[in-house]
Amino acid sequence: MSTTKSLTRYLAIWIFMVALVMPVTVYAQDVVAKEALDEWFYSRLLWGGLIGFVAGIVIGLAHLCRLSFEYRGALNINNRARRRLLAWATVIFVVGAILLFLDAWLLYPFGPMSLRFWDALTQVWLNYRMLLILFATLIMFVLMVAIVTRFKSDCRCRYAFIPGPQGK
Amino acid sequence: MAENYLIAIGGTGSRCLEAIIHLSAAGLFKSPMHVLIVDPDQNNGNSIKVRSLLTGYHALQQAQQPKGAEKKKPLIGWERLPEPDLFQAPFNLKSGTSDEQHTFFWHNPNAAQRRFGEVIQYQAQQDEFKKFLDLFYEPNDLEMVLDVGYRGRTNVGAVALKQDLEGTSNIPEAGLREFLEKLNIDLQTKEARVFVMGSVFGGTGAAGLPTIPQLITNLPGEVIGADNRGRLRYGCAMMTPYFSFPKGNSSPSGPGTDSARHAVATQAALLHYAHVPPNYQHIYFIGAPERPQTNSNNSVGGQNQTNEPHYAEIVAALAAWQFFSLGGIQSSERQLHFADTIKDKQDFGVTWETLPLNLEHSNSREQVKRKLTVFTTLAYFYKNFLYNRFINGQLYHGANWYRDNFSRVSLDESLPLLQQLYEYSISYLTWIAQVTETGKDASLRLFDRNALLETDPALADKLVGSLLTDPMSSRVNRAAAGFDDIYSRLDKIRLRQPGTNSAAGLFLFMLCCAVSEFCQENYAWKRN
Repeated sequence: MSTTKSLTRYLAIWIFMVALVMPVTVYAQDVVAKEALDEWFYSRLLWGGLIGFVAGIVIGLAHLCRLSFEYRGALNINNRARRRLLAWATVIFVVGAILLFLDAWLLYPFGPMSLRFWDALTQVWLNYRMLLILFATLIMFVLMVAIVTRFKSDCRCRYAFIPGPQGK
Repeated sequence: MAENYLIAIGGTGSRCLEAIIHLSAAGLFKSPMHVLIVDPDQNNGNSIKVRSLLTGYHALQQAQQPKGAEKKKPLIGWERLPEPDLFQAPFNLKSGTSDEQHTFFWHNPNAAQRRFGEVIQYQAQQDEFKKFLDLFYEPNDLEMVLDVGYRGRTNVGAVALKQDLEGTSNIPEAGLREFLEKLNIDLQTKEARVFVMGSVFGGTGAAGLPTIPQLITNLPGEVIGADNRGRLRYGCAMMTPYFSFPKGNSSPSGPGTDSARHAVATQAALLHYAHVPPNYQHIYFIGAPERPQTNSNNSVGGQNQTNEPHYAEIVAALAAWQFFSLGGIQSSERQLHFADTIKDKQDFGVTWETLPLNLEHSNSREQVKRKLTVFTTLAYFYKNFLYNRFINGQLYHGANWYRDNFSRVSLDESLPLLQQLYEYSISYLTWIAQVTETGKDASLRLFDRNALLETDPALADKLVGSLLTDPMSSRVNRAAAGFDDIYSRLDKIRLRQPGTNSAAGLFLFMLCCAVSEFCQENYAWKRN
């Protein structure tokens, strides 16, 4: 519970900082062409969606659907499943952000040579496109978790994310 | 379904009946039963306990469980579930009604304070006959007040009980008349079986055992038709000494009871039965070599005579179960069955291998073990993990199994039944724990007593998968977190139709399915 809270807090601070620093890119000298940036964005958007899709299925089926019932407290694990989902979403967001930065800095060919650390940070990473990729990944992840947990008939948290029947 | 008839005589009979009720709850008895508790000690502690148990059982039996239920398979399609098993045998249901019951207890209308001398009208007899009677009865016997039964005096009980029973065969609501009426109706179309249970070492049981068939034989034709009598089959559990209690003193109202005399009294009774055989087709002879104290006080009778249960009573109940499930019984048939744990001079103790009666091959052995294990696990699970969460906050509303299956019926309206199930679970678990306690000298290995009594949920979680004591499954890896294992099976169940209007019945059925599946895997039982 406390881990999830601190992760959420950390994420909120991080997004706030990114939003604050983003205008810096306006004054930076452009080394990355807009077309290259768009190309990078679309290819990573697809990859992000795919990763979110796969991660949603795997985490939904292998982890959330198998959470154990506890001999104390509620007779369902919906709240626990929701907390775990939030924790996973935070992890995916943070890891995804790091991977996107490494990708922009070391892997993706924006020009004849790799970007410098500062350029990668200010012109690619601190860009609204990066946030869009991360949010797309997260949306795909959450959507897949909700779908697989709801439609796997013996999933233990089948009504945690998409409402189901109500008992009388 | 053919109705079975049970007569429990005296305190021991009541204790055997208690075992029958629990075995019925566990699903061993399924056919309707008509029970009559015959005890002149109208306030006997054991009889009172059984009557209250029967009331609780009846409430749960009336919670109709779904028949022909189907559950969703993991991928596609529906899978047929077994028929309901628990609390299926109705007791004393009135014909044509769904829930009204005939009385269980034989009501003796005579004054409780009357003395035996008044029963035989001693003072009114001629002197010569008085002298003759004196040969059979001491002055103490004649002055004995019959408020707490016959105080171990078979010679007193044999006369008083038969006379009192005959006197009540026509009195409405006294129990016996309703019993005989129902028996007579059943006998018009089919064979009916009467099973009598009682001790041969006490006063009431030893007097009543040979009296019952005799009483029915001598009834007038309008009570039981002459043709119908030929379709009657009798069985009995003769309980020889199997428990003891502290020595007591005589009271002004009559002599006290002494368990040291039980062996001698048994010999005398059996000698009498040998000369004048009671008219039973099947007699089950049940006793115990060790006789543990089942009461810390010496109570002649009354409410304080509440003896703890003993495994011999389970054997008696299983004897009744065997008798009712026998194929055809010839009226000329005479069979004596012995409960025994010894083979080739080796005592195997009271285990799942020696039940239901002895070490002889029995197809029903596995059935007894499985049904009792499932019911014990269910009672334990419900009592330790579910009840509090049901009652305090009605947490079932958020449970998946409830949302999936309870759209038409609500457990909110069944809270009294959930309470009843809790109380019954406590009665059963206490009973089985006491049986393991009183049977510890007989190497009784059925259930783990310490586990049964555990109330801490954390420990109960670890123990719920290890309640059964069975060498056959001791090498199997048993569940370490039983709550999750059982509850996840309940959580998965999605029925095609609720199949009943009783929410408590539906819940009980689903829980039983989950627990059965758990036990099957946990103890590595082979599929039938």
